Amino acid sequence: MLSKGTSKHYSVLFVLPAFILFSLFFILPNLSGFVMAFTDWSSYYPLSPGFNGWRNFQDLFASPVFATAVRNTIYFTAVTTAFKIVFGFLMAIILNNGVKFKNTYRTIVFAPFVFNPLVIAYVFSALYQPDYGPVNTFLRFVGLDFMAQHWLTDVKYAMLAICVMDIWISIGAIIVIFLTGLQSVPQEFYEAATVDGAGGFQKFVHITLPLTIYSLSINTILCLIGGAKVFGQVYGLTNGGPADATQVYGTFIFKSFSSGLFGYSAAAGLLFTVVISLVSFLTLYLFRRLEVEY
Amino acid sequence: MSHTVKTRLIKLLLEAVMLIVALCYLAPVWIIVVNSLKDTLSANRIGYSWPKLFHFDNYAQVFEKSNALQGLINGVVIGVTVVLIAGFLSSMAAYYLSRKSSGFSKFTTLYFVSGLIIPTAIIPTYFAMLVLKLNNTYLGLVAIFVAYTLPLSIFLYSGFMRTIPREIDEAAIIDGSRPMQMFFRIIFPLLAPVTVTVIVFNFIGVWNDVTTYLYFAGGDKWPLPMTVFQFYGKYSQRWDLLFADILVAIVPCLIFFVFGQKYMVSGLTAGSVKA
Repeated sequence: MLSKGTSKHYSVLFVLPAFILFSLFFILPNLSGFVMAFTDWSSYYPLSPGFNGWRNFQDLFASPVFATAVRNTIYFTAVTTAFKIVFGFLMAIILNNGVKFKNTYRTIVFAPFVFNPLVIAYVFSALYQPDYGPVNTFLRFVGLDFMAQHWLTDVKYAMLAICVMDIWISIGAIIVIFLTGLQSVPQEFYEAATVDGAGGFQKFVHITLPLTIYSLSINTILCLIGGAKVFGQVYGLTNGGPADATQVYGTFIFKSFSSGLFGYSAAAGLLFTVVISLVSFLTLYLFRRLEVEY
Repeated sequence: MSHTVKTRLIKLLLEAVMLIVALCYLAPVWIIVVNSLKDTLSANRIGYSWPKLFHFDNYAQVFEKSNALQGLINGVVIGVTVVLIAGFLSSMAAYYLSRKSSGFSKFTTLYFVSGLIIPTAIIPTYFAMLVLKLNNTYLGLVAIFVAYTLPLSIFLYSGFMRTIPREIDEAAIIDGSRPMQMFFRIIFPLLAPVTVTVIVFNFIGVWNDVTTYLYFAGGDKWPLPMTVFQFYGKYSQRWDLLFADILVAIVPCLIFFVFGQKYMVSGLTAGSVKA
């Protein structure tokens, strides 16, 4: 046994550079957020912030735009997560059951993963254009004229339009993860179930679902975090407009930051960090309990 | 008999569904390509038709009027630097963390994993950058990006490291290798498959980042995709030029995707299958 002797050879120098860099630009800022959120730091006095107690949080909760941003972020996260999980799972099952050109389809839906969301947002702003945009042109072509809307300037539809674009962008990655999960289910289980006379639905509930719960949990967390953090999609498509109707958390912080209210933005950021971390750890914990050994 | 007919019908239906889904993805690309070659008036109609006259000069105008070239250089320089530094730091860190079982090692593993879940604190980072005089510098961008890419990189490396037997380390030690020498000459080459995944993942992440560039750097430091943002601000009524610019911005990604897809899939799914 060399283990004791070799362990000297794993010098702490291996991990130190990464540790320092990560501490300096990730951990320390996150910790100092707890201090900064209670200051009146602004662009007027960039290097001399003073404490102002709970003032920033009081201001946040009194701000109607903040309320809209929170509501929109929850709406966006709920709609996109539900849709991506349900339809992503369905499409992964379709692809896993021997559709011709399976790999081509997977490649096509996965491709937007490598594009910048801001650039995609500009393409969609053309697609959603009210008079000539292909979306409305198509709706009129199939006789659904009443559904052709001012997608981005009508308060009623703008959030929905952003959700649709986001689903278009990232459902591919969700499908890829589900597909890997599905492929890892041992084929014998299905064969045994067939012998026992189980139907398709029973197989899904008793074999597929329990054995893919791990990819389900990863996907749910990815969707939740991704949804809550949404920025580029909204920034490019509507930039929070019309009249702050599509403001989400990310664009709200950027707007406050751009107007120089650093302490106020830090307070909003701190709330976000605390809530997202709690939700993520809770989701992880819940799914961990649903996992099965096999 | 009726059973097989039904199965076939369902199969056909599913094929049709996937075909429609695929069309939803291909149609926008088609629209970008054909309209980027039209004159301003017909491009602004955002139609499907093939251009009557090819306006290749749209592309010449894009390179003249946008920062596309500077953006390409910025993106490659920042991306390559981050990928190199992050690759070395994270593989070394993962090696230590997966081989050593001390309290410090366990704590540090959690320390890095927390970065996968906890969001980045942008405003306090802005303050730190202000104090260090790193805002709007290449050095600052690289430092932030490396810090942000470390958790996932270390996570990917650690998963792979477990498949490399400890006996290899021990043999090298008996032969008298020093730790760093042993790592770079013996272990690092064995990590090649996951290194490619880490490189592809980090490069795409840095290339397509929006938030970090908006908060911490001015337009002259932005990579190619972000230059579309500046261009859109100036020519929002000229879809011929905009589509040409968008195409210029996404072609490198497409090329990258064709070669890197395999590695992106393996990176994405590394944590999603129970080992």
